[in-house]
Amino acid sequence: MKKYKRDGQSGSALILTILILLVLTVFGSVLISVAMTNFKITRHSNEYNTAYFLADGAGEKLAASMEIIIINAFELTEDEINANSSDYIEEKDDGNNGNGNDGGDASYEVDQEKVKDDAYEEFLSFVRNGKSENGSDGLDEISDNDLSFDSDLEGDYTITLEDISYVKDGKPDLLSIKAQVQAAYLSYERRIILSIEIPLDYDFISDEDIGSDADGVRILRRVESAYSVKWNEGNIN
Amino acid sequence: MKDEKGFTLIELVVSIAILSILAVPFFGIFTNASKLDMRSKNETTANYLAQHLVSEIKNNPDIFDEEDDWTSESQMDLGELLGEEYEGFYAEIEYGSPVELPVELNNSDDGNDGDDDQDGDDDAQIADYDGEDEMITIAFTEEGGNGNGKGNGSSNKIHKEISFHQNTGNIVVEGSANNNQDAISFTNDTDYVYIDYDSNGTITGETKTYPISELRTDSEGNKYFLLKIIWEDSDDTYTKNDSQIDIKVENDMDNGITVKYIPVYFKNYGDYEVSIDDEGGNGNGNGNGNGNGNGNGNGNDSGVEEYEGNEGNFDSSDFELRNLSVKVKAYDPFEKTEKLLKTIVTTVRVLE
Repeated sequence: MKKYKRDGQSGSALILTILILLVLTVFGSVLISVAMTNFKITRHSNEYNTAYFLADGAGEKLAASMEIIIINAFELTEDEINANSSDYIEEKDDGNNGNGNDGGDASYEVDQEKVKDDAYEEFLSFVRNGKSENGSDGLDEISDNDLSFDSDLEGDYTITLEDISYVKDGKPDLLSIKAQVQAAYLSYERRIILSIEIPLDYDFISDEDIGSDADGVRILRRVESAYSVKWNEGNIN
Repeated sequence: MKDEKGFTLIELVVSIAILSILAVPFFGIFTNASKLDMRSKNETTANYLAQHLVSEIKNNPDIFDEEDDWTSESQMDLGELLGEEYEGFYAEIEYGSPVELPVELNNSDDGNDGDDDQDGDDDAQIADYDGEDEMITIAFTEEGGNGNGKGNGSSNKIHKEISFHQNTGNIVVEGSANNNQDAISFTNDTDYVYIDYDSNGTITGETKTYPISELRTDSEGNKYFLLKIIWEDSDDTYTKNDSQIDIKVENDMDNGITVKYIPVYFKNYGDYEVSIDDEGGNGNGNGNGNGNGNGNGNGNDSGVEEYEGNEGNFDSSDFELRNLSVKVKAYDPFEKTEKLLKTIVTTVRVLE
């Protein structure tokens, strides 16, 4: 029997196997790498998102607190100005004609600019610091802990309150308050900036209203727009 | 087949055998990659769903309702709620108790319409609901008016306050006042509770508890009770001209006692929300002007102002803040069971 000889052939099974395994290894590595990357992106996206909602919730608390502080500040300011109302009134005519006879109603003038300036300063002070005698707190009394959550959320998170600033626009008609809360969750930090603009719209009665038929001295009157507050929520990263 | 090159059957068989043995661990990699991909997909979907639920709640604050599945602590099947593509995803939505804010609304509001505090009116006010101790305080402030002209009259300010807690369906009436001549009473039908004060302002009467079920019901089904206020003032006659409200004012001149009944309505007594139908009767005060003589201020207040947190363009008087936790679960291919994939914790405004 003629021995069958495989000319030019040598055992290639190992090489073939190694080549295929090499290809499979490359494919597998790429696949697992892509899957891992995808998973990491998802995880980071979730953490990022979780941090945002933490900041958003803290922002809601801060906004609600600011609203209360502002309402309180209006009340306190009005009380303060009314308590010192006589400081702003100047008698122009006492109503007498000088002969002991009644010469008509007395007339008065209100120093509206001074009222306005004083009211603004008082208001700003009450927004910042509240009034301890009334048990009212201002923005400066709010701390990070006040904005935190009691939660079983897995992972560490922190809430910080930063940059409460008061912007005076050079006239006591508008007060801007900007405050920022920052929530850090795992590797992410998200920030919410609250910006509240408060028109300080005071309505003063005319001089005639302080005449003889006045119900009382009305120096400062709150009007609806005094409560008109806009607040914006922004996300900067 | 001298010149033919190729693999023999044996070589192929051997190759496949070796490959099969060595490839097993590689198949594990493929499987894990597939599982990882599935988990990523589920987490992404869970993230989206959690955001969607939070957004829905934020945009529809009236969604808060204890009877509603949205707020139950049991699992919501998101496949049923949002469509088949989300089958296998479940959500748990939990509201915390009302958020305690670091600041409180002043209780100094007078219940006026915001125009003027100094007009000699008799005001009533509703203080803010304090969620912490589940107490509502209603305070009445009577304030004497200013005189005519440039009068900055001092007012005879009397402060009366009644607090009541709603625990286990009962109203607990307590009282306080800064004037020892005052007494506050609570009445349910014909039963009155008097809370008296000694000269030091200490409560000498006992605190009474009434079940909410004993509240009166008006023709429209609104729950209310009558608050009876008694004060000593023998000089004035009190009249009330507002026919729309159920207020009686009696003046016993012989005893120098004036009695007033004010209905206090419970719009939603389960949530401790209270309103007063009228903010007060009549006031009377004397003011001494510092320039032009004396004057009397006397008038009625009109309108009702609830002061429950915010007003004006804040437009959130009916809202309260609640902590919100949204958890989304789905099948996890690694653990082969349901797993919590996404948690969002935040604070939202919901209708009270």
